[in-house]
Amino acid sequence: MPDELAVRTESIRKIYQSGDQSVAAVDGISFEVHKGEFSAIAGPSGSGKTTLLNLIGALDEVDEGRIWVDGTEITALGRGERADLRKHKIGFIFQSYNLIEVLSALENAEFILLLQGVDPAERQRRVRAIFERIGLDGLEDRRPHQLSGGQQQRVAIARAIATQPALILADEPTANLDSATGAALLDVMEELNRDLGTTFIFSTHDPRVMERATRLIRLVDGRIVEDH
Amino acid sequence: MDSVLLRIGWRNLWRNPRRTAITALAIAVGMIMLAFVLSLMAGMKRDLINQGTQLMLGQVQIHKRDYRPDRSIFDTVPLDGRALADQLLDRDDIFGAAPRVSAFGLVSSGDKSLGAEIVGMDRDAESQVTTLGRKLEAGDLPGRGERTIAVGRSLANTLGVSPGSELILLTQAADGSLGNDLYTVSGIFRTGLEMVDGGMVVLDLGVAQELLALEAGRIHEIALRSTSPARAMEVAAAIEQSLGVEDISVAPWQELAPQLAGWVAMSDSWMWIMYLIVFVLAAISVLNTMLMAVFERLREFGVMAAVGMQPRTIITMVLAEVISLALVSLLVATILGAPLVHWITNSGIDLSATTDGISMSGTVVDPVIRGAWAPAEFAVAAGLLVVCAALAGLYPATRAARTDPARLTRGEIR
Ligand SMILES: Nc1ncnc2c1ncn2[C@@H]1O[C@H](COP(=O)(O)OP(=O)(O)OP(=O)(O)O)[C@@H](O)[C@H]1O
Ligand SMILES: [Mg+2]
Repeated sequence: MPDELAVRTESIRKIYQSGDQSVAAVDGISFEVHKGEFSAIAGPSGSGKTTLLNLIGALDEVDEGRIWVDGTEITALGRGERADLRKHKIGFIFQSYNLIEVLSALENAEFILLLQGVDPAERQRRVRAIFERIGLDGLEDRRPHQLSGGQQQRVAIARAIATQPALILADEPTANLDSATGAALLDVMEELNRDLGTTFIFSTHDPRVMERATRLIRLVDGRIVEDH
Repeated sequence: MDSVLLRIGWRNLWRNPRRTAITALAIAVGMIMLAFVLSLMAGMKRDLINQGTQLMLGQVQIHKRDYRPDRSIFDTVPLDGRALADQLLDRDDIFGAAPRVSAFGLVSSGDKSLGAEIVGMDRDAESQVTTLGRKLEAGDLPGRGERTIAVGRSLANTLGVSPGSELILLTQAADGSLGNDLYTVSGIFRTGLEMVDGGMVVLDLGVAQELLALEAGRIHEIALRSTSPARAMEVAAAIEQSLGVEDISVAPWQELAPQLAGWVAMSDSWMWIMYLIVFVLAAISVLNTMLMAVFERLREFGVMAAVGMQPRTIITMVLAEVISLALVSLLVATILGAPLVHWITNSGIDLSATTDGISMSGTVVDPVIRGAWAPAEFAVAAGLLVVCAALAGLYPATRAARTDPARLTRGEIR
């Protein structure tokens, strides 16, 4: 796999069993994402966006096919190794409930650095710099419930980029935000992508969000129907 | 990393302060109940054994092997009994050794007669072993060489005697003759046990031996007091071994008074049942709290795992929380429970208003039930409760740790 690839999948399938029915949530998807891309995955509800992101992010296991992230074949890893890979190479932003309720904004943002064993001074330095950059300074000591939805998502972004991962996966990061806040969040993501070269893959329903992506992958029934 | 886990665990504990407070209180009440019951049981057991052994029994007795249960006057200990008693006092684990002779006979005053057990004892040696000498209502036990007799309160009433009165004893002596003599009443004892107060008279050991035609060295039993009743069995075994005389048996109180031993064993089993009940209640309470605490936080665990936390760390985090909970409970239990245990060990529960003198299988029971400190037992109980709490937390935690992060982020568990 060439160095400039952040993600490569090869005919991956994920089948869910519900009752006697089996649903192929991801049904033979092969694609590549280059480093530095700012890609959107779009598709109607139930088309497999979340499932695909979870598979790429090593949160879930494929039933068929292979996945590489930053040159590592994650489909060949065990549970513990997958956790380590997530810790070092992948950042995650979910639609909601991203933060640890009992930790402050700052503690949340440095959580992965902490898992990595980075020393406290360095953690603080990095996270404070990011907070300043994405408009969170002054909110360091707030608990998640004392932050707005947009602020919470920014803390999640701060946590994701603090370790400078190869890839950030975001599952409908703006879905719970009003459009102005959502647009501002995308500004932040775009800026990080442009300035730091961080690769983003995010899913969305929202046409206004899709417009901002440099690449748009459309899913229907677990297959790619459009990619440009 | 570990410190942040502790921080998360501790803060999570106060996420739902009411639930935490209720659980901590439930565990604390459990611990207090345990401490209370442990103390009460230990105290009752101590009193039961003390009262059962102190009056006459002693903690260990030495006999000729065939002496019990027939108690024939011919079956004397096949060694010089007085010398043996003196020699046993040299042992570190023996505080008192009282040689005795005993026979059944007729006690008469005027035209009234009664059957009674005649016991010959050395007053000084006896005072180191039993408390009969402290149960005198009037007068004293016969002193060494005195041709006097002490009798129980009800026997004195029946015969109509008081200190200074004269009594005639009639018994079979070891030489085949009829022992028969006149004694002045020296004292009257009241133990609360009808068997003793109405059926026993006490002579000086030497005087009794004379009556029974036994030489000075021939005695029927030696009652011993060792360091603690709990050690009676090992002490008895050690003495029997060191004597090495096949025909001598050395028996602990458990063997001499099986009914008393039965009561003690029963109080032990009650203690274990209480233990179990309290444990199960505390464990259910923690399990319930931890199930709720883990299940309402699945998404959060999912996010933590998604960003790279090892799944097994969930277990560490939950355990940190459970142990914090247990320690808070322990603190509450100590603060609330200490005065209670203090009260039960010092003042005790006075039952004398409801009963007057309870006698239970040959034992006079003190109407005030007092506890005893049982710090070791309590430490074990508290420690086990903490372990129990940890186990209760382990169940939901391992389930969460085994679940795929993807599933956790949906709020589901395997
Ligand atoms: N845990 C599951 N068990 C059974 N079926 C599932 C499960 N998760 C997803 N599915 C099914 O897989 C398909 C894809 O679901 P997925 O959540 O990936 O879609 P999505 O594009 O993210 O939808 P949405 O836009 O609503 O978030 C759907 O048909 C869904 O019902
Ligand atoms: Mg989805």
